[in-house]
Amino acid sequence: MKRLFSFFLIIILSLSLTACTTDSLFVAESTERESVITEFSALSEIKEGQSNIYLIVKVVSSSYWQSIAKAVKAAGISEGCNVFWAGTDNDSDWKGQKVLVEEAIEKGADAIILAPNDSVKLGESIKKAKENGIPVVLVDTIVNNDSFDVCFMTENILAGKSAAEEMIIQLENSGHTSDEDLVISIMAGNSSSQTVNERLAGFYQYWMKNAPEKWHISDNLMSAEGDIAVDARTVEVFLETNKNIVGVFGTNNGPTQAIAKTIADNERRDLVVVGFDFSDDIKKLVVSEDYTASTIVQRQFDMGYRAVVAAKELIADSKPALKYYDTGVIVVNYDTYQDEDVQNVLANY
Amino acid sequence: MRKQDRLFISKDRRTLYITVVACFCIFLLSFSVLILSFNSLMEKHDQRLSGEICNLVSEKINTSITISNDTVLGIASTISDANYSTPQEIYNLVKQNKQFVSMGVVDADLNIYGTESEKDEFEKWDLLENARDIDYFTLSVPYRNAVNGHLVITRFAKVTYGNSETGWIFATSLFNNLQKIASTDVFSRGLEIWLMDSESANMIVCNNVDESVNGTWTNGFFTMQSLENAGRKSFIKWIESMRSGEEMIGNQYDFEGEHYASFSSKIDSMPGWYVVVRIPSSVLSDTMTSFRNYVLNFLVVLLTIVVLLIFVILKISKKEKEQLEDISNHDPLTSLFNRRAFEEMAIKYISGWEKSVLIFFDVDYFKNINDSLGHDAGDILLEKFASIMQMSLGDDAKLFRLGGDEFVAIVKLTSIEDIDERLENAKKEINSIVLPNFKQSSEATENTVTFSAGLAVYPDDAEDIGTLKRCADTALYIIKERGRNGYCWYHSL
Repeated sequence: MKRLFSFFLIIILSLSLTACTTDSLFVAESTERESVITEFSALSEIKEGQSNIYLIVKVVSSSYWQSIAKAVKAAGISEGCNVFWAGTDNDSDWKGQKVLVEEAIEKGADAIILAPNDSVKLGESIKKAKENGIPVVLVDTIVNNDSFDVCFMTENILAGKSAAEEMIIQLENSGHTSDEDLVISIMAGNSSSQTVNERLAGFYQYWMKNAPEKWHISDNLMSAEGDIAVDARTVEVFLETNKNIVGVFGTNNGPTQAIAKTIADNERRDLVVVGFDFSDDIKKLVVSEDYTASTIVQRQFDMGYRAVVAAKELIADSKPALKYYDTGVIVVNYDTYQDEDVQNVLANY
Repeated sequence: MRKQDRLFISKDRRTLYITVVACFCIFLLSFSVLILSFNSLMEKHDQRLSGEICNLVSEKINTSITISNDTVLGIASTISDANYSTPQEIYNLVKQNKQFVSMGVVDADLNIYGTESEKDEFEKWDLLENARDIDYFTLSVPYRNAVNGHLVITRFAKVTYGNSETGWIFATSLFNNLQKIASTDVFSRGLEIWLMDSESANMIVCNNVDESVNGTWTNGFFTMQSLENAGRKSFIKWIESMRSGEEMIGNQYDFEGEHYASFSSKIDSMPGWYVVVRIPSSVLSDTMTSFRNYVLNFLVVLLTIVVLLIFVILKISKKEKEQLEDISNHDPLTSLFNRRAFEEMAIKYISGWEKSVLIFFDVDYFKNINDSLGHDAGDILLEKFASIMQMSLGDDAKLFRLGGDEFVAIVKLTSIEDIDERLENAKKEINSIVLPNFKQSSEATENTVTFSAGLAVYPDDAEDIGTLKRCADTALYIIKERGRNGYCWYHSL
């Protein structure tokens, strides 16, 4: 009898657990990485009586952020400000940046220049800085509220449009006509990157409105893995299997390098390449008369420099006329490479 | 209890167990069918409902866009009716409107009447292109406003002024207003809303689980890359339906193990643009799953209670049965087995040993004792008699009271001498019983308690219980004939 009773109890308990398991026992695994932040360090010589401006970047080890730090340093020296910088080791670590904002407040920052890792979650940190009377200047990325003072960034929709415009111009320059059926292809970077998505949106938007009706973008986008050699192989295979491709667009630095490498290795002088950012691989094509290659370069030096100037104005209670400034891009190709403006931008790259 | 009875009860119990297990199996089966049916119904219900929700939300957003458009159209109509002579006059009027982020005028020659920053925006975002191609009204693609840093949309409505010249008023409002309409607390965890340009497949996020992506762009062809071939085909078919100008398109599809319902409805004031609403069925299922789990838990609790009740009832019933059996087999006065028990158990005990002795006893002149000393004294005597006899015959002896002063014992036979010795001991003990009022008795000898016993040996004297009883009874009769206060072996007769 007892055995029968125990049997029933076990079955009933199992049933109870089955009935409860659907969601109550489920625990989602966190995808957030552990926060690793650096200490604030001075970028310029610290002088008494000068305003203290704290720069908080996304990824301290990235050359992109180092060039912004370089711009901030140059502006700090010329504008007479003490500039410090720190940052995180990955561009999703908003918690690390929150700590850094609080640290900057404690250290008595006169202004904070922040490249936010999250457009929503850092809103409270910015508000806290503002409540302490500290102006907040954003660079590279904007947040979804009004708490900041001014933002300097590249409008990536427009940057994408510039890339599409350049692609159309270069295809025409290469002898393609609007009567011709042609297909171009795209290699895109990280799908979760807002920058990549906006550049793509801008590219498509401009292309659909301005490219001849018979010119198409291949429905199959190449997805970059982040490894230049692997991505170059992807481009190579894609071009081998799609002989009709006449142009390739890379949404950011990695894909552009991979495309440029493949084009150079295979000596595909017939293809038009438009990419983003400036690397040795794309430079090799851009400066060569044999290839048709262009790259869209951000003015990140301007971004950093103007952020310091704006921060200094804000410290002096002078409010910038606008809240959002698009620092713009330049188109670097064989024809523009020697232009003074282009050379100035590339010098600070 | 007879062996057949025991077998019958055991059969009953087995039937009971089989019935209980069968009922339980049927319950489990029904339970599983219930869960499966529930899940299937939930799935169908969620899919249908999620489609309807998408439809409603897209309608809600479209209606809101239309209402906002109507406001600008109303202003344009009023301005046209007033027939202002110059665009500057119109601008002076509309720039004071605080309902929008900004308002201005574009004249027939495409001159912009607005702030310097607005003029820059027009150039930067090519907004004039929107205005010059329209019949009477259009809406711009969302763009970031330099003055406030927010995403905005600009509406253009045709106006007439002066000598029937045609210009446009423009009104810029926050894209966020649209997002607020789109967002809903009820399905905030799962409802995704985009505005989508069917030409470029560009999509701007109005509402997403991850708030930080609200207001950001993505491209449909880019996201399509994560789909399998069948998914890609459906996606391209969907884009083509939009490009061909279908007003409303409903879709159901699976993506990364999740079932989605989506609904796309055309925005009349934005040529080629659609409101796309998507919701995973699981958002609805979560609510229904909780409900289902409550029902299932209730059933499981109910089953537990039923099983516990059955167990308790069976336990009580078994105990009561044991008590009844105990009462029916025992003599309440002496606590010995009674005649009923003797009839049922005698054969078992007798045949349990290689040799055994059946002993019939009765108390000599018990009726006299009862009559002279009273029934209470008689009862005490019987109690003491039973106790002494059990003690004297030993623990292995089975003693029964058949009724009145008649007793019977079944004892293992090791030797005749051993039984004799036990009976002699019993005799001494019985003789020493002191009864109440014993002192008041006139004849001392009559007040000494004695007993008589007849013994028959199994299987020497008889091999069946009936004959054995008769043998023992005969021996008892003989000892009584001989004057009582002693015992007699049947085999000695």
